[in-house]
Amino acid sequence: MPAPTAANPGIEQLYRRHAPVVFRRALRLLGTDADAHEVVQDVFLALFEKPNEFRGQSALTTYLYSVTTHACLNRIRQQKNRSRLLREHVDGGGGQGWQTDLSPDQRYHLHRLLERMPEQLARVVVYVSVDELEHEEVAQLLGCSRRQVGKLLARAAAWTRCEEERAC
Amino acid sequence: MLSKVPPRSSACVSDLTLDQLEAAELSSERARAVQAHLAGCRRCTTRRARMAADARAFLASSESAATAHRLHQLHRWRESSVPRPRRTYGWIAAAALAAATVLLMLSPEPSDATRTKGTGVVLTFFVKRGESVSRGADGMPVRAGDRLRFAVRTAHAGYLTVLSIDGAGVVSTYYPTSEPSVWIDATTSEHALDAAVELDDTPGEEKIAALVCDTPSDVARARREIQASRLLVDREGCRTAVVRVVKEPPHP
Repeated sequence: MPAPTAANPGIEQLYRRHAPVVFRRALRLLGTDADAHEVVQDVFLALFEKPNEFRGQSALTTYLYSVTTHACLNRIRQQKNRSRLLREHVDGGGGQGWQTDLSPDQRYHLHRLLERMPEQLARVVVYVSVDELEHEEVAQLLGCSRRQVGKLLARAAAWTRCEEERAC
Repeated sequence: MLSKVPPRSSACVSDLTLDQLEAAELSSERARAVQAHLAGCRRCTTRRARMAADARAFLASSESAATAHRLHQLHRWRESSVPRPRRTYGWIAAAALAAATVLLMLSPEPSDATRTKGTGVVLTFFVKRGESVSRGADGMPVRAGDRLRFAVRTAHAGYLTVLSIDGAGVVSTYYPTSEPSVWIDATTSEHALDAAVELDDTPGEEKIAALVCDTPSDVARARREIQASRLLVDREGCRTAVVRVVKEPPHP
């Protein structure tokens, strides 16, 4: 492996530059420092083990947005996390010392939605509702057209209404 | 103290745009436009400052330092001229190595007891007593002072650790010795692990498990759960194979 350069930084430099972004988003979505730190570790160890999965794709930031979202959605969906996240919601647990924009209540209800929502719709919901991205930016992250993003949002809204009707 | 973020205007930029600006991933034209917006927008300037402060706090945290250290270790290992150990038996004399090789070639497939059905993970072990080396079998009697060496075969790649629960219920990590887990590729042949374990004199049945997990955090979670429950069962995100040895009481 060649020595790190400005054009080809090593994994440690990439970590210093991009890990805070992964952590910030994971913390906002998952709500606890421990979960967010684990997502950071998983994402960067995977990047180290399989760098070819990134090469040739979009810029690293957009790639990391995508894999972080995927990692967080997986954690939300894992059965073993659901009851713990519920307990933390009840206990009012949250990040210590970092700014998180979702209240515990909001995050709890978001998790309830995301754990059942189809993956592609869940990603769009995360990008629009949590990251507050413009449709053009979501299209960039998903690799689709802006029009497709609009359609996916409409499908997500319809899915949510259907789920809420079932729950009533 | 960072000031509160003012309300958003339609011209405000997203977190993604700010992240791309920091990473120098925007086109020159776009970067100029964003900088021009920042010059006149207190909301976005405040957000940018907050994100920078959060980033510094994260990088200063012990958890971040631990991850950075692990990446550094992996990077150094990859950079080193020492090849990744495969099928090396550092503690076996040449003659015993030849014998072990013959054993590998001639021994029947491990019994189903050395794998957890359907997980695709197979754990085998070898026992060295004095100068004699033999292939282990599930339920095999062993003694204090015997040295065990493990080999793993897995249908799916992942992060490997080998744990044991001895007759006293003590949970130990047999492999790896200097980090929580090690990446193992999927392989159709046995992959010999580069560490040997000398058994102590705790009598009774000892269960030894190879866990191949999807992520390091799955490994950490499984380890915590095993330490709490003393149960070597399948866990989400991990595939497990278990073997047992029975430690004989000390010989007079």
